[in-house]
Amino acid sequence: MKKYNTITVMTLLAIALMFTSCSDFLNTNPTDRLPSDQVETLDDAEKIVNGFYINMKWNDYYGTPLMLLGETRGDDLRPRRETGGYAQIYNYEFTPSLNSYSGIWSTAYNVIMNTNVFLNIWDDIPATSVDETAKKDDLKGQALTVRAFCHFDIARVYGYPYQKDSGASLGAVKGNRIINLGEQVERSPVKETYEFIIQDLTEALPLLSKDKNHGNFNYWGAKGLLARVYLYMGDYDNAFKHANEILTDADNPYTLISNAAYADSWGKPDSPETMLELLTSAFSHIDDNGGVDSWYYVLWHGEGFSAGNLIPTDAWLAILDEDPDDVRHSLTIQRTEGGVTFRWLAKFPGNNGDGDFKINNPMIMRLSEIYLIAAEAALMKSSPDQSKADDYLHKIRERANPSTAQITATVDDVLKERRKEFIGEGHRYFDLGRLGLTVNRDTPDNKLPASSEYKVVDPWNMQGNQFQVILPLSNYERSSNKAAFQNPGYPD
Amino acid sequence: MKKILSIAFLTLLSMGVMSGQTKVTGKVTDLNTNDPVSYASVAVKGYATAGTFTDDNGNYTINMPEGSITLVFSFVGYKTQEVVVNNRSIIDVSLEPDVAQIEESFVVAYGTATKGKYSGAAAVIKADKIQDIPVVSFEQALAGNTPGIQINSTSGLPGSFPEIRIRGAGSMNAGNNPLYIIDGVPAISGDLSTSNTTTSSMNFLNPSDIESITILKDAAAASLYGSRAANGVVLVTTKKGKAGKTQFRFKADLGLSDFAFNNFPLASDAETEMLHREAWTNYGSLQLGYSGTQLEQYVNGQVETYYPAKQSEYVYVDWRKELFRTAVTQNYELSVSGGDEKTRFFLSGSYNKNEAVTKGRFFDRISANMNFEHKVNKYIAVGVGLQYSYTDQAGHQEGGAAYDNPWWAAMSFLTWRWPAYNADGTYWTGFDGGKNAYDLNNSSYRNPLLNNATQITTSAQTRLLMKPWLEVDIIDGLKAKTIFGYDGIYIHDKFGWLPDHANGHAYGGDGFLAVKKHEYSKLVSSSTLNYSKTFASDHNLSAMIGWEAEKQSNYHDYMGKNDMASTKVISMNMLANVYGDVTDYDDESALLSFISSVNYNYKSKYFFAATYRRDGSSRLSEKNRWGDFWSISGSWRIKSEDFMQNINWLDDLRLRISHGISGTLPTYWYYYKPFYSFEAYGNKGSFYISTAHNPELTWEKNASTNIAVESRLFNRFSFSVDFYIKQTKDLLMSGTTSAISGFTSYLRNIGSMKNTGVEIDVNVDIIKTKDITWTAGINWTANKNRITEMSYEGEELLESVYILKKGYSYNQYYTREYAGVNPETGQVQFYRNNKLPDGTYNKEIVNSASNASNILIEGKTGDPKGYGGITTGFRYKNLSVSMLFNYMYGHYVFDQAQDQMSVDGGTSYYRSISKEQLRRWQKPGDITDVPRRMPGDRAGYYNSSRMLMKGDFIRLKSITVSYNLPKNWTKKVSLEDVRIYAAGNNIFAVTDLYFDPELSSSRGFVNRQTPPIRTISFGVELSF
Repeated sequence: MKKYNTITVMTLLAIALMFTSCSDFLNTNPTDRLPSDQVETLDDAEKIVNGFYINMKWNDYYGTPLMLLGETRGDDLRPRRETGGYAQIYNYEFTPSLNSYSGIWSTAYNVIMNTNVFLNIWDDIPATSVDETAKKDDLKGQALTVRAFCHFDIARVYGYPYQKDSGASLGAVKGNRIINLGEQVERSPVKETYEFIIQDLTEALPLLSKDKNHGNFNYWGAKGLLARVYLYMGDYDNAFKHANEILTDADNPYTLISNAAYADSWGKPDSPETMLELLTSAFSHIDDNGGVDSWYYVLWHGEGFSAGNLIPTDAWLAILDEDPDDVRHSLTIQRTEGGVTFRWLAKFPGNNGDGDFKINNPMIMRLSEIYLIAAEAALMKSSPDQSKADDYLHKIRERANPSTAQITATVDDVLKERRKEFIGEGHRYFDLGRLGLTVNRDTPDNKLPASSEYKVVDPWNMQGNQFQVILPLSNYERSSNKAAFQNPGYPD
Repeated sequence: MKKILSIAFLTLLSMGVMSGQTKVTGKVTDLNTNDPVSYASVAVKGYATAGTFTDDNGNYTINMPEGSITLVFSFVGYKTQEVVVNNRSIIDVSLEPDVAQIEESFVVAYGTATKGKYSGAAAVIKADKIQDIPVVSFEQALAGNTPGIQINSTSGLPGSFPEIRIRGAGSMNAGNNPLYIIDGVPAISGDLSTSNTTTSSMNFLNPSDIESITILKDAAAASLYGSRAANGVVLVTTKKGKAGKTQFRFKADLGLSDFAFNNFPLASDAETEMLHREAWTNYGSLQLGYSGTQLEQYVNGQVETYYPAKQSEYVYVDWRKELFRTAVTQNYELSVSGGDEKTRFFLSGSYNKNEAVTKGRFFDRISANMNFEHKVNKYIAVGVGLQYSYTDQAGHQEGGAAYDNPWWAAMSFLTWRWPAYNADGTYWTGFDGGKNAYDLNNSSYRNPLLNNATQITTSAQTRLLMKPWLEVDIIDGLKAKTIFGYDGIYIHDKFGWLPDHANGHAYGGDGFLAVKKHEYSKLVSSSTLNYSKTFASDHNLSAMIGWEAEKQSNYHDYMGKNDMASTKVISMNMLANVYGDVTDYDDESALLSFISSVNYNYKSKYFFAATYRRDGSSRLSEKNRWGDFWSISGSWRIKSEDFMQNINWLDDLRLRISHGISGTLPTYWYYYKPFYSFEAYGNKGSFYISTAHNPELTWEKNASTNIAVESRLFNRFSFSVDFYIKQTKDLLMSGTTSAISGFTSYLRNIGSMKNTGVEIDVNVDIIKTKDITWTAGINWTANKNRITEMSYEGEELLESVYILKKGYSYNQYYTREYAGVNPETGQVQFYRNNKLPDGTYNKEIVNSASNASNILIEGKTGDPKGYGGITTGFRYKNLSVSMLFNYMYGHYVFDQAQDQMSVDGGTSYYRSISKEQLRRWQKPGDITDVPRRMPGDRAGYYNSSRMLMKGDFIRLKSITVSYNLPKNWTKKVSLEDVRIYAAGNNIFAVTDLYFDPELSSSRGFVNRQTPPIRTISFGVELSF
């Protein structure tokens, strides 16, 4: 019968259709991401390591807030307006409710998680030749250095300065392993945090490449970081040791930018002295908004509603003006807006030097800092070395003005030189904090409300509401990790 | 395949020709109207191959095979009739219309059901309820028609995406939109909005092409759709051809639209100046201690600065008139339908053109609809349904994006004293020109007329939904059906700023243009085997098994360029430099399912049904991939019991009970596995882990119980009452986790939420005569939402002005607590509400919003206590009028617009001022809720419970007046039927609010979006 033939065909067709849907049918993947089990080669591993720096440059970390915290809480830069987010940070208005600065904590731990995932798979990365093994070692060294670096930031942003109480107060939650989703871990004291950082860096040094690599940590960057960490701890012997070793090592590929090249050097990446900067480009901005949410827009001297919201204080301009021939005058610009004349910082004209502030590599470490660490530590170490200190300080002063005479260096001289050299690079408040020096804003141009308690801030001896000298953990973080306690003074 | 079908067909034909002994002729007519019934089937009982159809005039001729005695007459919509021939040669038959078959059969999951025999909770909306309402997509016409459905529009722009909630919100992170099934095929649905348009996925369907809509509300009705059914299912059935004379239908209408409500009335020019004057007088006297002439001079100076007098060199306008218009909509449709018993078709095409009330914005649609079916032979039927549409839309960003949302610009900062044009007719652009003393160096304050003219915000969409099917009657009672669905959507978006736009240089070049492409495609294949049989005359059994496979892919790409060489042609070729990332991605989601159901009834008195579906989803890890969804339901037709037979006034009484589990899949397609993202680091590649993953992830489970009573009394009064409990477990929640893990939150299945509710639907036939009918109905829904568990004890999640907390509604408000106005000083007051160590709250009154803490505002939620609709329909001969009211009460709406329009003088100097400010405090003793006007007091700027208002309203949602011209007139011009009609929606609303009561989101939030519109349209429909 014809009808049964037809039915048979229908049935077979239906069954055939069922079997076309094999078990793979339910395994799908996106095209804009790579499944982690497909990461296999040394080449892939290198890209994962590059990925650490992506989030470090992000506008939750070095791209904006870390720079803001390093500068705006100090005495070199001030907000141009009395309202807005920058006035809040200038006035130490931090609360545990979510704000843009809690992003440092979460972003640093995101980077730490990425390093830990990488260190976990590191053994399985194939490397056969000597070159490949060296490369593989370097990648591990970078992961350890980045991990240490992030812990250092957590400790200095959320913990009291080491020298205040020899690191007894609460520091970072140690991310020395992959921490599971939902896991609760207590904060380690600042001292333990620093010990962990030093341990990571010490392990990393022999693994790292000594080639110049301005976008990634190398041997020199890790060693410079170690010097910086010892400086923060007040271990000047070790700080001097590492800084001095860099400066005296014949393999050191860095040289100071010359006086002649100094002004223009800020308009291009990879200067002769850049030890680490975080790379940005037109296709990889600091933010998701084309670069306008970056630190460099906060400083930008061009027109625009929120541009140029931070300008140098009169106090800073006064120390710059002490020497009218200082090359660093080229990094300020005078402009009139709304009938008022301001002097702006014009240090960051963009990677292309064309005034496109939206593409700017955040500067993390350069040789000038190593000189000044060495100079400061030489004066402070157990057996002070005045002539090294004089020499190293003079290198920076001489570069700023070649006709400057060498002086007998004091710690105050070194700190003043750091102010002039590193403005906009996020160092000043941390320098004051590590040494327990007061932030003095009692100058005519300060923009604080008259009643503010923050005209004179002593980061070690907080008065009244001055517990806000370090950031609180966010409520969000507190409620999801009850083992990590809040900093003193903040509502909990 | 084709060959086999042809052979089968030819075989059938030849058998028909060969037989034939006795000849019988006759006519088949309708019992009620005496009209001939054409294409009715005339069959010979026991002789499957001997059969014929009636012709156009209802006449037939048939040859009776030897030994045959009985003829069977049948036609869709009529009761089948058997006639013993008894050697007669002429047999005329009158067929009795089968009311049950015509009216009570409706589409349900994988089949159809008859109203009195269905145990689930489903609402049916027929085409006539929505056909004339002037809306772009049918969803907007559903409000008030049936209980349990809450609809909120997200924008008054045509084509915008409405939020539809069936029996409350059951989900937090997985979406609350229902599943849409079109003619048996799950369509791509939900929000297709892009950055500059708000777009409903259902815009592609011309509402006139819809035959009926079934809304599946409980598990018994919906759980056959398994892992996607928890938010309810909307089944759309498009129009099919009917056997008989070929029918042409032409319909045209023209409509006029405007805002449906006088939203946010502004203080007049004189009032505005007076309010400014008062604010500066208060400031000068109270804050600065001025008086007399000094005060007068000060106030004059301040007012001139902040609300400067009009100057002759500028042209001033009424901004609302300048930015908005009475919009014209046009709609033209032509359909052809017809066929015979073997082949039926429906074809239609339409052109729909909608201007938006916002000038320059529009929505246009060209659509085509085709449904074709053919019975190859007694066993095999094939068909295809095809919907095609092209839509072109121009919208704008909604909400608080002042310079992109003209509505919000007009509301918030365009005062009477902002010039619109210079004297020479060019746009005034002085907002940032420093002409005024305050700092307007801010792109938010640009001339919106110029922005409107220099912005590109278009979105063109092409969609094809194709559904070929094949059905085989294998043996009596056993049927197989297979259907393929292809749904393809291609959206091409253009977004740009010409150089003159406020943002024209935002990215560094002269103008900017971005193109985005979105391609959504979905392939579905489903096959079912149905068996139905009656045993021992009283046991009716039907069962279905089947399988379904579905794959959806979403492709998006983006490229932006800046620096336009010319603005005469808007094309990427005209721009010089690529700006920002050029990206594309293609995501895929697959679902594989087994489906089954069984229905049994005994004597059509006791009904039992069960469904079971097993779903495997690509969105879950292999161990959690497969899930089971099921329902059981039963109903008891009490009226059919012997002991009820004597109660004559009771026509029907039924009890229905159902329980079952359905689910909701994560909206993230790959959350269960770890990935590396890519980004360029300098000129090097980089991978990094950017999002958490959770291999334990599974679907939300939704257990729903429904108990209902339905009855019909006195043959004119019918009602139904449904009680339901919907409990969502394993909620997909983005719960907090300590950032030390590298992430601050991750998606997991924790927490639960409950919706309990009552739905009542009452309908009365008040008058039922041949010439006059009058019906009325009311429906009411009360739904109570409670979060019953969070991811950990005591967790509180904040979402804008809402708090998610155990024991409270999903839409519980959380903001500062407003304490009114001090009658002596006129100062604004808040309760401090910081938590004291003993757990209570400090109720101290403070005068500054910044000193007040947010608190859960007890008793105020966005949930209505009740909502529903009132309908009435009246017909006198050829004239009919129908009206639909919708209402909602007991909910609070949060008016975000207050932060700019009612700031009590705080920042009002460059803002429009709401008429509400006329109620401000003026002198000691004044009792009011609006504080004194005082520059610097930014009380109204901060969110507080002052912005919460009772949202109660009742609205005449739609009205249609329609008149069919008498047949004897239309016959003269060879037209079968001519209908003229007028229809309108959002006619008027009664509410205490000063803005459209339907402006809020489903949570109650009013986010400054373009308000709903009223459209009145006039149309004519010709049938021939």
